[in-house]
Amino acid sequence: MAVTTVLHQASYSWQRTRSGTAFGPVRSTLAAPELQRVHRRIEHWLRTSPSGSPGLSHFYGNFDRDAVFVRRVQPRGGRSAISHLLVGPSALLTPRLALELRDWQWLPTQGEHLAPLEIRALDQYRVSLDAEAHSPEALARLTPLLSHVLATGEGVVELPPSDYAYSLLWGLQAILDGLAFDLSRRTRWKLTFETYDDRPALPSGSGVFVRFRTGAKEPASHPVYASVADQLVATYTHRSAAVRAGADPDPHPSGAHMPSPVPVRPSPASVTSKLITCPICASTVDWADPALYRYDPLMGSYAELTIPATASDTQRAQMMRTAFVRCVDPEEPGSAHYLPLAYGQYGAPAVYGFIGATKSGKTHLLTAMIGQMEKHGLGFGLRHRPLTLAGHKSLIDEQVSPFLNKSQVIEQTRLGTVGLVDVLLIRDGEGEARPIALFDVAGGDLLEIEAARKFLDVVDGLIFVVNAAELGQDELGDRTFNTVLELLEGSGRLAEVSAAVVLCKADLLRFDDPVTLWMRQEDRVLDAQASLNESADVYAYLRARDADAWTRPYREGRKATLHVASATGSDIVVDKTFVRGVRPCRVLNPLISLMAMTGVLTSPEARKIGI
Amino acid sequence: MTTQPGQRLVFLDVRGVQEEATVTAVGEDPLPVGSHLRSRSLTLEYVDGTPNEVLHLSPELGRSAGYDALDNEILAGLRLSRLCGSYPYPSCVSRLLGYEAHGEHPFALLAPYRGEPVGSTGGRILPTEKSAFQRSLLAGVRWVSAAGIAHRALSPFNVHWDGMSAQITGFSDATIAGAPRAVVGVPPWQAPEQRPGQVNGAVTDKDDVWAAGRLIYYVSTGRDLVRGDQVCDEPDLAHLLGGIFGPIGERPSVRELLDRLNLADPVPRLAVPDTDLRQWRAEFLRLRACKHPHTVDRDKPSAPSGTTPKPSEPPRRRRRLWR
Ligand SMILES: [Zn+2]
Repeated sequence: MAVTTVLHQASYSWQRTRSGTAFGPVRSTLAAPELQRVHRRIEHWLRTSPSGSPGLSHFYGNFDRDAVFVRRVQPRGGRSAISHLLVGPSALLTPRLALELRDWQWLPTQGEHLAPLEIRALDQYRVSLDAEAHSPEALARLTPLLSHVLATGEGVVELPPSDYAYSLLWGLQAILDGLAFDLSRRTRWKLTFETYDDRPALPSGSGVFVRFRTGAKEPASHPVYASVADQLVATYTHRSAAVRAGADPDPHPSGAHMPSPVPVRPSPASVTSKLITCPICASTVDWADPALYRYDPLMGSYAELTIPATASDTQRAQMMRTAFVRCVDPEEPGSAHYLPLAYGQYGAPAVYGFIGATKSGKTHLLTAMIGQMEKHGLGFGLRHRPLTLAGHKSLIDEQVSPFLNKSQVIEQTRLGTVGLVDVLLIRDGEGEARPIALFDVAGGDLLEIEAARKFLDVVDGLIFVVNAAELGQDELGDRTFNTVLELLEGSGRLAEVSAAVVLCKADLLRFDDPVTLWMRQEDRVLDAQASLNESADVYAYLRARDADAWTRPYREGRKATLHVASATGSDIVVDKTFVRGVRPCRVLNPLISLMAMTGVLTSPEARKIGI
Repeated sequence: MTTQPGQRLVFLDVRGVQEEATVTAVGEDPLPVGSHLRSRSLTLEYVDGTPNEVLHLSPELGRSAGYDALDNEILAGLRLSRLCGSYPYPSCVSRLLGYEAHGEHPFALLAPYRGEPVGSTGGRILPTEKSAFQRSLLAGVRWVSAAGIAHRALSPFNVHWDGMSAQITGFSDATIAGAPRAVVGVPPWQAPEQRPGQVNGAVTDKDDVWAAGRLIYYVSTGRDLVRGDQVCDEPDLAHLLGGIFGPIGERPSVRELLDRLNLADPVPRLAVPDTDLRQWRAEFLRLRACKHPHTVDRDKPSAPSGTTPKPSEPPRRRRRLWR
């Protein structure tokens, strides 16, 4: 059976008919019989009562395998009512997607006609409610609601209309989708909802139906289910720190995120646990008050770090700054690895991996990126600051500075297959700060499949580095790319990981069309049209030069961009020194694009990048 | 690095073929071609024994600006040669013969310039030569724009005159059309959009027209142009230079200026678009349209409407009901 990725739409309004007026479909992408079938099912929910609220409200319901999402307004009384419908398989049109699209006014047209919507086309309109759902006000209301949902099972739970309706529904769908499991039915509950209604009547339906209705009473917690609900809400609060907001709207579908039962009922004040997914082994590490370790350079090993009770605040802060958290891969219980404490202190970072063969210029690109960021900033209102201060300082001292200031060739330091290079906190204007973590992934013969697989389960974005000097003849590089893409495909994450393909050492091609033009454009810009043009040009150039493997990330990934860049500006090395000096060219755009594609940057322009 | 007799030079010609030649004589620095490049005249002996007089350009030592200036010379030379293809190379622009761009000591080899800069005593133009100067200068500017580049620093010091025709030289500030504009050139030959505080947008094929017009005025009248409307006082020039010194939006293209002189386009219509790249760009856009259908341009014919799925399954039995 072909899997459809298309949603249908329909629009309703009042129209004159021979027998008077009727509220009926004006336009639809559904065939007439289908539309009739849908219409019969959702007729009741097409609008609120004629005297009802003029404001915006939504209905979301499940019928057989289809879901229907209705957006309703009646700005000037009942006769001005307009409704828009999205219809699609429930697996596509999930409650979460519906909530994300709450502000979108659909009906884009192709010419005069209403067009079916490719699900991916909606990506740029999806707006998470994660932050709102985690406000103390919303969380306080979520527990009683959840307790009633758990008590009722499949059925109707009513609340009075609320400013927190969408936030509550968001939290509820997250819990029903991820944490709560209907043991008796061995299935997850399906949430359906109506964000506002003023009519007591209600047709029958299936699933959990949450409805905000005038006249309903504010529920107190259900006596039996209050404590379970409380635990689930608490777990939801912790876990949210581990779910990267915005970047991958659908949590990775597997039982892996199911938390173990919370043993005691936590009081709200003690809810401080922060679960972070380890990028090395993909297991979950609690970052709230973890055991600390320090690296002993003399011993070349890690030792437990005990901060004496007598330590001053300054001393404590200093020790924390260089502290590590230990993680043990459950699949290899004997071995441990360590992440800087700062890695998880600001929530789960957006995880970026640099992929490329050993000689691709990857290390120099990474070094140049960090150097340019340090020197010039990221531009257009973006601020950044390093989180792993000690690590960042040694990176600057040992790599960036010799590279940029003394033009020295940087030898790759191997930290295992997947090495953490830097963690930075990025703030977009006055928006919420998001950490990003940069990882160097060993390529070529050094790529270890098992370690790479685990990392790729956690990664949000990849920077594929290709060497302009080996255009179309880089077997090792091709193999690295193909392996990574196949691993992603195998785990079903190919579509959700964003990619920036960087044609590095592009200085070697700087007299070639269209490389010349892009090498002479500015770095540190966020311009969707320019990014699209550059991507198309670089794609065409690579294809024309038979570098097909290098264009795979664009062909197969969902969001992807292509770039030209040069970490050094020239490639001639004498005595381990770039004799013509090091002049990075357009090294930050790939990183900025990746931040845009993975939701770290959230401006309207950023959302168009990679699409 | 000093270039001296006996030295062997390895470089690429404009088609990318590797060449070798031995330096048999080194001449005086003929002219300063720009602030960041050194130039020498060399006599080269190729492997097959043919001697050749060339101009050798290399970056001033230790200056990154020198590398950029050399790159610009090479870029301009390569693009002009590629545009020209198998047609005779136009005499109205300097000619790149070979280059070594990536090594420790990069250089470019050019055919020796013709004549002398029009700003020098030797390059002075007689009243009877004015119109030949105008024609050949504009032909040169047209070749430059057709090659997709802008010279950006036309001045009496790099436009040469040999008594017969002009030659544009000194491409060390050239760049590709579409690159961001920058402060380039020197007053009074600097177009307004290249002056400090007025720079914005991307380089276009009209950027050189301002300086070319200014140069024509200067050579024809012997005076500096202080105000744009001075042109109106010169009946001979008012028509040719009309609109050049006003707002850039109304600035004529060099094709238009050639039209005003009743001259045909000197660039033959042989520009072969890079069909290879075009084909792959089209593939990119097809892929994009599949991945993100909403990006398909609304004006273009949309994808066949057969994408509407038919209901594929009979409705399943209803599950438990609320009431
Ligand atoms: Zn781990």
